[in-house]
Amino acid sequence: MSRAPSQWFAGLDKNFINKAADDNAGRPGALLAILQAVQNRNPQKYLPREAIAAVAERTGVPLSQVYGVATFYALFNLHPQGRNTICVCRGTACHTRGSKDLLDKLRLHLGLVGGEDDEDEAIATTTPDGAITLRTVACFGQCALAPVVEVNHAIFGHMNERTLERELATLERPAASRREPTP
Amino acid sequence: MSQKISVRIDGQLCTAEAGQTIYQVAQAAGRHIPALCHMEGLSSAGSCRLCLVQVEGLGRLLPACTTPARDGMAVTTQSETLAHNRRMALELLFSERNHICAVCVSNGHCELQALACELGVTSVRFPYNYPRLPVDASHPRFVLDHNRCVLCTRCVRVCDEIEGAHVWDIAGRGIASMLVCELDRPWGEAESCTGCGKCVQVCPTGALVEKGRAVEEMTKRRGPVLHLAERKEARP
Amino acid sequence: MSATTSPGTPPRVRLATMWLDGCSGCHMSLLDIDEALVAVAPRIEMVYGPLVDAQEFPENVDVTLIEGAVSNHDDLEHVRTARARSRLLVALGDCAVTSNVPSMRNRWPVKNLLETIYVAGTDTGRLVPTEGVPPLLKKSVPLHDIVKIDLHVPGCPPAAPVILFTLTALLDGHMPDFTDPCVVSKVRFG
Ligand code: SF4
Ligand code: SF4
Ligand code: FES
Ligand code: FES
Repeated sequence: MSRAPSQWFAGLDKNFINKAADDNAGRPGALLAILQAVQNRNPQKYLPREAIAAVAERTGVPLSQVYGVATFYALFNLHPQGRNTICVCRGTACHTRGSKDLLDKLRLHLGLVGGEDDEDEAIATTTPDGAITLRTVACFGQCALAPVVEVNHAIFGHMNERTLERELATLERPAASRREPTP
Repeated sequence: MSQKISVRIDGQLCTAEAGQTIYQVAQAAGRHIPALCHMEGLSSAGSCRLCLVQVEGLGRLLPACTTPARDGMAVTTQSETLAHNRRMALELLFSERNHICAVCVSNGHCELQALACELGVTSVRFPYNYPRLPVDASHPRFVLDHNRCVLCTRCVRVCDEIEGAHVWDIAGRGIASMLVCELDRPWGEAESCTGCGKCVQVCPTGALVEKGRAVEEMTKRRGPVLHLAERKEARP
Repeated sequence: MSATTSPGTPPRVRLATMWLDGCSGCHMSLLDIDEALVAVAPRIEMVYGPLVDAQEFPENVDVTLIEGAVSNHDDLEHVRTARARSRLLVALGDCAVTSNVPSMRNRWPVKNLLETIYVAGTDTGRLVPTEGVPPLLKKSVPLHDIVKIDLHVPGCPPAAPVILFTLTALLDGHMPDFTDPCVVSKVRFG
């Protein structure tokens, strides 16, 4: 994880974090509300380490505890999120209808294949150009439509490689990044 | 004066104080319940499920260390079902990470190992997970070996409740859960750690140990922590 | 040891031992039962293993004690033969029971492992040996991952008294109970 202060945080008015912390002080689940407010404020929709540290400082909650909360909930991101989000369902129904294949194809297409050690089922990975974040979910509750893929919060059912490619093509992506992944 | 309740533990009628856990009542009555994450003097976490007991009239098993005793409760602490479930919980713990006892500094002084013998676990029926996990040796005097951590959170609790530093916590969730130091920092760089070593002394396995110990050499001293906990309790 | 029995005494138990991916410590521990060997010897007939001279695993073995994990293709074959020809298969020691130290390599792909040791780790040779050595399995596994095991005797190695307790129980025709107060303090798991 990079230790350099994130650009967003450097430009952030720390008052925002302090205010979010003070506004929620004493409420049950305050920490969740504060972290959520801070993440939403970030155009890249994530919690940089400095922001977590600032929340801990203001609330008096120990650093490791805030970090624990931020990593427990899938809602919080610790890395910058892409401008678009594609979420592939890895639930049982979708799995039996080939969601693993779709996911693999997507990874290949987006150049998100790591070394041989990379964890197959990582929750979220983002393309280096910041265009697309690829996520998995355990079930969308739309099993009848399996396999299900969500693109920028719109649900698409009965996906196959062709329909997926069509959706991908509609996403904004600078031409320069449309190169083939380097092997 | 707190309210008195009566509880039946394995048929024996016991008087207890309202608010006591089943574990505490059973212990006072001289009934032994296996436990791993629970430790005298610390709050209860209920994370290991070894202390499961049966409560009459309830279909599911309950952890004795976190369940408050209630007036009129009838509790069973030893049975075939319980033994089966406790063994299974232990086997899952063994299969989750890399417990290679033969090369562990805590071999022979490990609570996980001791429980296996006590409960008659002689093999693990689940496939081993063999995760690749880091060892943090950045602290000048101590080592954290994630391969041997059972996520009992004793270290988290002792550091928070007795030392008051709260250096540790659990990050992530499910099988990906990991003990973390502050913001996932090497322990040696922790700003809040006082170096008191309490976490090392209460860790039930060889996950938190002193540097410079060879295989089987790491014995732990619980006495000082228990003593501090008692004094804290006694304070008004 | 002779296989003849005098009339009236029960037939000897045909015992085999086998050494797979282990350090031989469990066999040592077996010999460490010392003078008790004298008492056990007349009740058994050693038909196979590193301690006797048999070339091939015989048929109709009563009890086979196996030391070591299953780590390569030869181990695989041996443990299957032992299963097919033994009435009772005993996993002796942690390598057989949990795959123990041999399993420490399981976190790396075999190819990386071999190359690290035989190519990057040496100035001479720089070749992964392939001839005369059985290919490694992807992972080093406990016996019960491959065949049905009737009894697990944990410990690295199991202490001599635990082995004696096991043998005595088996010769007396029952399974040992390791939570028995007379051995529990000497049993170690993992
Ligand atoms: S040494 Fe003391 S202060 Fe440091 S982490 Fe352990 S218990 Fe906490
Ligand atoms: S390091 Fe030790 S005390 Fe801390 S959670 Fe892991 S096993 Fe428990
Ligand atoms: S399994 Fe994919 S929506 Fe339920
Ligand atoms: S001792 Fe009760 S759940 Fe761990």
